[in-house]
Amino acid sequence: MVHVDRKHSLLIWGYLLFLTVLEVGIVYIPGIDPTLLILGLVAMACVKAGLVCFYYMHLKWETDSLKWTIIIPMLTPAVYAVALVLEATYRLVA
Amino acid sequence: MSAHAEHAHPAIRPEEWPDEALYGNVTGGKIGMWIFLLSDALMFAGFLLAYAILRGGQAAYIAADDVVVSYWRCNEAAIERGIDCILEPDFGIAFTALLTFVLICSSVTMVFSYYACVEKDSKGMTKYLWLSAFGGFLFLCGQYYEYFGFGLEGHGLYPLGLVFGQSFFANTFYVVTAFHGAHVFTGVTYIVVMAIRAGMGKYDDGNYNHVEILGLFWHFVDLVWILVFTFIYLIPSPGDHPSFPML
Repeated sequence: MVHVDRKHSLLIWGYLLFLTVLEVGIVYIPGIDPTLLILGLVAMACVKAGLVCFYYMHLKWETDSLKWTIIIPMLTPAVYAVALVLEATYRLVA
Repeated sequence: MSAHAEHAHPAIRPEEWPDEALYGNVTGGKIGMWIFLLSDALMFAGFLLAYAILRGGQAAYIAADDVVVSYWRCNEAAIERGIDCILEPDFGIAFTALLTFVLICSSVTMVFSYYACVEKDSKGMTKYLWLSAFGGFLFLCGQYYEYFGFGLEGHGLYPLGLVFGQSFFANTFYVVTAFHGAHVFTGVTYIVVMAIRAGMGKYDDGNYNHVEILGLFWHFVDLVWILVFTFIYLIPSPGDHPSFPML
């Protein structure tokens, strides 16, 4: 589907830059809780990836079938990663 | 008209594709690129998972009866812990953030080249494609500088001690970032070919199919970098950050 909106694209660019600055800034907060730092960084990275995927790659304007065809395989490694992180945490604690 | 042109298959415009029930009027090329990107994403995911597994299991490798079998990263904390290794340098996060900025900018110029093509503005399309290629080229130069420092004294991760084969950290770092760099190089080559074609007037009719497919690839390269930047550069290794002590 043709979608032309320069202002909106620049707005997304602004969000991406803002989140990048925020990501770099959060690393330098002294004494930050490590769990909070990791969760914050991962959450911001996911939002940025979502913005690129949905707006710049036009996934937002595709049919629901195409959206899910792409999103579900993309999420499977994330599920696997969560399982691995939990397992690694268990090994470190045990 | 030449014999070749007479028999050439006319380019089908995206909006002329049949409006199929499940996927709308998405062109075959676009579906093909999405399938490729999914397989590519899973490959990157494999590398990042390997990084996560090795990083997560670092304590187990260090402390088996106080004998160091192997180690995740040779930083000051690891040396204090008694591991005999060559100190690995810290990342210049500000510099890598700048590379991220360059890649995000080249993504937005790619979007603008698509818009220009839709509006049959061939000159604008060509201009934005060259700008995107330039952004990718700058990124590659930055990555080369990050690795080797252009031969300058005290610059470059490799000359400063981050040597492939020394630690799990160095290995996974070079594999992931070099694999991404190969994608940037491919993307820049792809964009340059498209820019030349656009300059020759191949897209004067406003057929945006090719530039949209190119855009998918280029934005994917940006998307992957967003994740690599976070997981490899920003999440600190144990011992690198006061909140992440070495266990």
